[in-house]
Amino acid sequence: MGKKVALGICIIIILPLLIWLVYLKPGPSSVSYPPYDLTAISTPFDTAGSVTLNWFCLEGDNDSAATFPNYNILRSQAPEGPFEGIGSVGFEYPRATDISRQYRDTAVVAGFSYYYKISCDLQGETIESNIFGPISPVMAAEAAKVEVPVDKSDIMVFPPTQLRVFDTPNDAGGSITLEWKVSASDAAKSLLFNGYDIYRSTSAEGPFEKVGETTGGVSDVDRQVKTLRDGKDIINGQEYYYYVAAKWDGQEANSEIAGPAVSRQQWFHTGRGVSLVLLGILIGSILYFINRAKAGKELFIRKIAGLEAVDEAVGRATEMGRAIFYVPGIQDMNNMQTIAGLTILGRVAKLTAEYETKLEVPVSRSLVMVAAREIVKEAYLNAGRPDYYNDDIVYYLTDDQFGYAAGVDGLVIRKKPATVFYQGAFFAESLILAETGNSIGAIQIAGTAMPAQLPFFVAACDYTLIGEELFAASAYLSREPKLLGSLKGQDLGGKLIFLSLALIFVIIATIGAFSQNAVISDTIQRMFNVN
Amino acid sequence: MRREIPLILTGIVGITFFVQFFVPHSPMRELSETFSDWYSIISAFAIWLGGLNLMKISFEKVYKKDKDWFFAVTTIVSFFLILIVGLFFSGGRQYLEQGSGYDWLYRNIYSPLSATMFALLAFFVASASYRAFRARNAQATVLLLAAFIVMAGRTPFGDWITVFLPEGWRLSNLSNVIMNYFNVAGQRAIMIGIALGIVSTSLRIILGIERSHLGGE
Repeated sequence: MGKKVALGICIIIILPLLIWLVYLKPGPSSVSYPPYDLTAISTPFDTAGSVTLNWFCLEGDNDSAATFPNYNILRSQAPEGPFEGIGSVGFEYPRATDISRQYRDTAVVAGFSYYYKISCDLQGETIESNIFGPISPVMAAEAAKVEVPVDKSDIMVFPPTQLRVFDTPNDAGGSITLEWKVSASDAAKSLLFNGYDIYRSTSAEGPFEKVGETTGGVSDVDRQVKTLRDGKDIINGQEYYYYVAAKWDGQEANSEIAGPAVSRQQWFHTGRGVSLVLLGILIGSILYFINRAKAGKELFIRKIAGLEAVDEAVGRATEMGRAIFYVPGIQDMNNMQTIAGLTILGRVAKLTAEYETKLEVPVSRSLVMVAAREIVKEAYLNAGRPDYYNDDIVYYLTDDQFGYAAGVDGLVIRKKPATVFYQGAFFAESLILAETGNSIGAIQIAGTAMPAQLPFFVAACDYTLIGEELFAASAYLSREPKLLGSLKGQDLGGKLIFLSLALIFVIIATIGAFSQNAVISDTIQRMFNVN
Repeated sequence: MRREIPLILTGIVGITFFVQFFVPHSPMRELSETFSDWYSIISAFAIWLGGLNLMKISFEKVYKKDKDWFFAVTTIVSFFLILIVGLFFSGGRQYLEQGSGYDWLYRNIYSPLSATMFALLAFFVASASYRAFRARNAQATVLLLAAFIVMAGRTPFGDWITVFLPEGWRLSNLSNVIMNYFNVAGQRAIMIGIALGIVSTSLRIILGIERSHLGGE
């Protein structure tokens, strides 16, 4: 009872801690104003001074919509109005892109501020845009000192907006992240839009140099922003300023200059707080049960049929006078499944040494060959039969997946082993191997932690170690108290606590879904969003 | 010492990778990158061990005229053919470039052979399914029914034979229900078990409790 209370208290303490750890405020999102998302700029290169408006088309306004109603352009000199109509844009008006339209207001006076909005009477309803402003037209002669005539129907490239620059979170420094709302001219599949150039300087005044470029489109659909990580020769502690230029049909439009941003190293990856807490619980539980096991406490471990059958399978091969094949998967020694598979090889090798049964271990990785030889050699030594060992028990075939499958299949067909073990990481070759073994009537024991391959092994083999059973094999077969303790800790600490937490969060998420509370679902999603 | 040095190295490298997962600050990233590089270098050198072992065993089979020794001849010829063509007959190009002798062997021999092996999977799936989907008992019958619904539901035939039913009860929808709920729930349970198993095994190896992969008990 006391233990249950302690467990309950632990969960009560851990739960708020988890929520506190992950409740990190997300960065500010870009601002959009559907359905039009109206923006305006002072027309570049226009020596007379004008304002160019850009907005996104309403649903139904496309190349074949000749009867689509006109957009009315409304202007005012104050945000609250009154707005007066200054023009309209209809079907025949040139389109900026497939999804957006532009209008140039030339009846403006340089130095005055203006506010704009768009309206459209669609199916008896007036749909209005956001109000954009204030915007003051600047004559190109003052701003750019160039004289390029701008026609009323010329399409203008719009700059990226809302540029933010900040130190890339959770990294070892040497990187600054840029985030901006994409240019209004950045339309999907546009042949005219040529992406963005990134310019950087150590001073707001410049000089700026180009440090990178990227394609158009958004990186984060939810926040409607484009994100880019600049890691080119960034010095930690140095201040950097940036601007982004949108490129469109030979034109460029620059964003505002943003900065300063300073790159720094972080001591803790804040996105992995939940992982650390959960891992801490698991490790604590494993260590606790290892200590209990060392103190001599009896630990109950359920029977695993696949491992119980190892002795029977080796005995059968001995009776039949045929070989045993041991296939340790097609991954290298850096894969935990391969290591788990090799721990079972030790047990099998010891039995074959005792029974004087022929063992063959064809491998697909050189390092696995070396490790497997060491294991088999030690097993033969422990069985008192070092004379029976030779290096050719473990041999290399090929690193190639299907080459290896073909090689093992050929050996199985020709040598007809009585028993075949498949223990480790397998991919598409799993069924090719297992079905070939099945066709010669061999007793087959498989074990893998590749969920997609498990059904194949279950269908074709006599016994299958499913996922965690493969990792439990070493403890199960050796009956070493410390290993059994770790197994118990994994079961109790891991499964019991994790599943309790899963149940609690399922209840919270369900309540959140029914109450339509976005905070609950967002918090849970952020908590388990492993970065 | 033969056992202790690998255990100490494993412990140091394992703890470094563990800490680096949570601490991006120097020197953890540099250390983990260095250890990864070392692993890659050791693996690259180890390929020689494998290649030489393959040749040794194949030559022995031929020399001793073992049973099926002609398969060993095929192995030896293939091995040296690709090696020699790749090293000496690339026509002044990089051996991986399109049009080189190595590329020709890769495209015209290796790729079709690999594809053939992969294609065998279709026949093996059929024979394994035939065995697995026999209604021997209640559980196997449930499996058979689920398999029928999923397979039929993935084809137009499934909806054609259930066209008279409400949309939610047609085979395509039932197939999706089985795949998205029952199957996903089972898969996730297995995945959680696997993740816990990997953490537990890693911990045993890092702490030196698990030694069987080094040839110990």
